[in-house]
Amino acid sequence: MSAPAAPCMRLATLFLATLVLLGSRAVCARGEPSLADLRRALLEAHGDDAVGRALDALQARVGQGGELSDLGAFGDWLGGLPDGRATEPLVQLRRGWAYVSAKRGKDALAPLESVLKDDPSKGLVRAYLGEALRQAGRLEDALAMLATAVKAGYDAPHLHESALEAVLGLRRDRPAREAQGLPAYAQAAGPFLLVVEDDALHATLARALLDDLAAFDKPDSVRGLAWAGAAGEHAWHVLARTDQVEGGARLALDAALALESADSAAQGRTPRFDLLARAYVLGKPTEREGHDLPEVLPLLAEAALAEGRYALAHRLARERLELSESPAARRVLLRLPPDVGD
Amino acid sequence: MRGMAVSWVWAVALACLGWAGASARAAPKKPPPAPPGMRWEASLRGAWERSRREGRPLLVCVNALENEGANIRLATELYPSAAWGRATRAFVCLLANPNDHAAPDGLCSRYGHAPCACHKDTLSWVLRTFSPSGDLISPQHLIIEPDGGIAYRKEYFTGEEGPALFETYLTQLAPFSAQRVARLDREARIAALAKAPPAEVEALAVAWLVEPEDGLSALGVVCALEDASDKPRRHALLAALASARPAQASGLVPWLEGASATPDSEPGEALAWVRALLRVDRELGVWGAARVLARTRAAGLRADVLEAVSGARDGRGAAALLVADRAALEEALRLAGQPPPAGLSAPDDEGLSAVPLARRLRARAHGKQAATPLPERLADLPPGALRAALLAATSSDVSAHAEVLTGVLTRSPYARVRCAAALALLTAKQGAAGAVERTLRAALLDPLEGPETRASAVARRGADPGEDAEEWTRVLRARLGGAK
Repeated sequence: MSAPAAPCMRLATLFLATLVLLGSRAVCARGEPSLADLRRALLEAHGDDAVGRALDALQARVGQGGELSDLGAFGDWLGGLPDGRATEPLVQLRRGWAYVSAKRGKDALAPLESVLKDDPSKGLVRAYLGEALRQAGRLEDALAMLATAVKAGYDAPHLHESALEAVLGLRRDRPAREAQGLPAYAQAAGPFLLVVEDDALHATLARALLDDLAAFDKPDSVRGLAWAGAAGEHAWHVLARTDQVEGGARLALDAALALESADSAAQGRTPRFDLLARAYVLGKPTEREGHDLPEVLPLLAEAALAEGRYALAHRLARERLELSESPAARRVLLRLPPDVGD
Repeated sequence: MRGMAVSWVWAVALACLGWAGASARAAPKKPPPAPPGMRWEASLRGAWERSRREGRPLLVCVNALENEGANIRLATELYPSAAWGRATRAFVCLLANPNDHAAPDGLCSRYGHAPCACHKDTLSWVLRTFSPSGDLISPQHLIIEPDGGIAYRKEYFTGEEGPALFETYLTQLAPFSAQRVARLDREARIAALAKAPPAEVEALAVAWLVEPEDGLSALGVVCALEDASDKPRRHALLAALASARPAQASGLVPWLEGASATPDSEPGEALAWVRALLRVDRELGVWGAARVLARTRAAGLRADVLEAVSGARDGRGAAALLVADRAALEEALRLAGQPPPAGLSAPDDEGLSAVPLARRLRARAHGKQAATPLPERLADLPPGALRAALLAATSSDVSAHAEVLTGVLTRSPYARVRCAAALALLTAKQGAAGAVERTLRAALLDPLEGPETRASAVARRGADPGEDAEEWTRVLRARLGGAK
């Protein structure tokens, strides 16, 4: 999975593209107003539309030197507006957004929280605030806030990228090695994923948990069982929905391997069989014979054997042996009833 | 004149070059002969890949201490020796060492013909996998199955590892590769068996089989068996195989399996294989015997096999057998439709590792009506048992519990359980608001569930539309008869 572009970059690009277009039109129509003219226009504007247009015109000046050298400076400039204009929700929102885009999330918190206090139903503001919290290093709060944005009806790619970055940040800041139960990143992602369908995040969590399990624990320890269980659930959640997961077959196999102890203890009440089945299907090349992950076949044959599916176990073991020699597949054949196969 | 002489010299030179070029084209330059010792893989990832794809066991040699006697001896005498090289040729060999010894050509000057990066990566992998604490004994050797299982691991070097051990493990883990090696490396001995008078073949083969230093002897005898066409020679060789060492027994399984698959085609050989394996490895011998018993239609062969296992043609001696053996024979006879003789039964709480209870119940139900009532509390069943219960349910039982089964179909987290619920509901013509059709359409074409689902659906319908999705849709709709 490739690293996503920083969510704030995406936000900034989107917003700026629109505003540069609007700004350039304004300049063409009225000539080149000074910053003082634009400031006056904003202060004199009445109604949301007029204030919005005035803010857009100002924002079009960002990066052209002077006081508005970048979006962060724009946010500072907006904060210094007199006559209560700086505390108006529309200005606060633009200010918060400008800070988020400038990666000054800490500065964005107050204006965005203020907007949200004014109208808690705004999902977009919650998404900005989630990103601001992430930038401010409050990663668990960020995920919780992003979940409320979705609950409020807002969803967009930048929100998912913020969540992914928050999870990756938590994994960096709070290493799994020190976790008592589930690592902090997996715990914090839970509530978010209860309200958001996010395949990339599920896949990232599964992979991260499996890597941490391999590095710091064993799948049969109490903590390892919890990590393996969570990895299996995340992996299965995404693989049950889509084939378009990079390295999906390997992810399914690794998750199934990690679940072995848990599955045995729960008499098959884990996604292990389904994960192996997915690895089997995804690992089958469409354009040639063979299998990308031959080791899946005897594992799945074993699982089929354990459930009394002798014909399937036989077919899979034979399929593995047709690829190359496999003692594991031979062991399956030795455990089949004597009338099965051939 | 001078000019001509020069031209002549040039002409000869060009001709020589042309000849040389033609020779080079006709016979490409041969690569230098491979070094006689072990051949190390050039990358860890490539080694795993090759092992899996080609079914070759991995041999990992940890040689991490360069100033210690055993490590030095292995690195300088044994790994480069022709004997170790020959015995490990069918393995994928990896060396594990943390140091750089790169020569100007980029290859390792200490171990040869592979870059140092590979033996360093391999050591990291061994440490990560086997010694997370960082404490690792060197030397040590590991043999890893192509699918990842550890077949052998030995710390220190006490002389146990060597050609005989490697060949024995090759025989166990990759019998067909071992057979190919035997055919090449034991050519003379195999030929000797082919030339010996039939009366001397068995003794000659036995003499070979009991040599402890030859790990390929059993498969060498199998080579001779495959080459022999006359029955006396074949039976002599089969009789000799009873003297194979137990460590080589699992290498004989593919041939035992072949002989017992359709035992009535060559009943004498099937019996001979069973007798031989019973001597080499009792458990494998009983496995082969059970296959013959379950598959033969010949009462005489069945009696012969029973006698070979129990000592009596009617199985009367069976009571003295191990419980695992009795369980295997009882299951086989029941599957053959023959009631097991008195004494040939195993209690249901013993010998379960050999024949689990589910298999015993299956054998007892053989030939009887398989449909069973649905268990009371379906939700308590683990997915495997729930799937089996759904598939075995009677149509009337399914109709009576249609609502519960629809719940299973739509809510079970397990794909195989949903598929079984759909098949059960199909039997009772319950459509579950389209869920049966949707589930089965997906399952019928699924590479894993498809064949069984199709077989099950066909059993309920009579004709197989194969992988024709449209035809299946038509069939399912017709079968459901407009059911919701």
